[in-house]
Amino acid sequence: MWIPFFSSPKPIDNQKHAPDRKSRKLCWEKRDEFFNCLDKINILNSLDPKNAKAIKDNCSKEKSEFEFNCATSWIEYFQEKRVAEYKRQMVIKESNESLK
Amino acid sequence: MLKTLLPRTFKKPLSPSIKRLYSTPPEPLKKKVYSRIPLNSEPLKNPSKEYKKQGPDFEFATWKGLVLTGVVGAGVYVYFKHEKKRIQTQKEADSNRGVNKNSGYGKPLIGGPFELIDTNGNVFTQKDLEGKWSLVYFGFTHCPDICPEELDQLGEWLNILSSKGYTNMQPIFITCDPNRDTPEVIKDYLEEFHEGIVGLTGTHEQVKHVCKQYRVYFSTPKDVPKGQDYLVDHSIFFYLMDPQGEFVQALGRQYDGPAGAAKIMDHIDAYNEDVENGDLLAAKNKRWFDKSVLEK
Repeated sequence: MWIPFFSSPKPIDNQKHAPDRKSRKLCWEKRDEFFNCLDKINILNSLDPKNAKAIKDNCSKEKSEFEFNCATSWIEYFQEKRVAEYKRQMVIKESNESLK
Repeated sequence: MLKTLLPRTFKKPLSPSIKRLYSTPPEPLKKKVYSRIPLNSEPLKNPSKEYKKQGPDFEFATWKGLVLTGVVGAGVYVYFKHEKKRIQTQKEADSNRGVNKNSGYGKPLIGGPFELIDTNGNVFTQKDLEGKWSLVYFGFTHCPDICPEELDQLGEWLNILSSKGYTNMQPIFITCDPNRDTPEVIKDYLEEFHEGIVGLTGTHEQVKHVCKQYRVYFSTPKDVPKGQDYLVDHSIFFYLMDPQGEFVQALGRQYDGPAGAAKIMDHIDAYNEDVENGDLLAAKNKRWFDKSVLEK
């Protein structure tokens, strides 16, 4: 498992060079795999400490691959975005239903 | 009958003395009513023929009339629909440029002087926007998902535009992260996107200045330890600038896909039509019909 500040720097974290298309694609794929795993265990917010145990038990492989292949600043960003996106979809769904 | 002996040219009524000589008074000569005779012409010799229709029979209530009305009506409809769209596009551009019918050119709301360097190390200023249609995008190379998606979107627009013959385009990427985004980093980054995108960077002050000119919000986290990864928060818009370097429209995410390219083409068409008509501003207010009708 990759641990910030302790493990050796990840290639995508190279601050002297921007991530290229290939490494972005790999990161997005690993992110989607991790999120699919979260869907299976019905977890929305993976940053919430009370979900940590369930994630560790069921999605630890996906989580560590996601964290290794994505830039450090993106890890939190994508997880927050997942929650925000879900809320956004719910609002759209609600307003659509109220129009019916 | 004696009457027949009288010459036809004898126009004056017979004097009462002569009249008395005949048992029956001669019939008055048939003369056209004055209202039927053009004032400046000789009386018509044979009125009945002259007044006969010369052209082919044409009645407006016939099918020919209906077809003609339909064709003319459709033509007028199409023309005014085109004009209405053109004027709306133009009005949108004008309001963004700060042009007002009453006050003439105003201060542009977005854009203005700036100085940056491109990926080859050359100075790039607002003067370099002139002569081309520019699409300006602000972002940063370490951006997780939005910027690369938007730059791919820009590439799609440029492909659509060039396939339709709109080739005078200058796509520009301005970084909001001058610390990490040196000309070399931007150059490598942009190579994976549509060719010809101009990448610009500068000192922190220069970038801050250009962002302010374009009303771009961006924030870099403070006190980031050297070598640590961070995100830059920024607004997502494409700024369309006309060949005079003036702001036309900000294209947000609602213009994703072909809609954005269509909008850009509308703006270019409206602008070119004005340039063909001569003076840009004067041409706008000169139309043979009352423009205000279509503005509503």
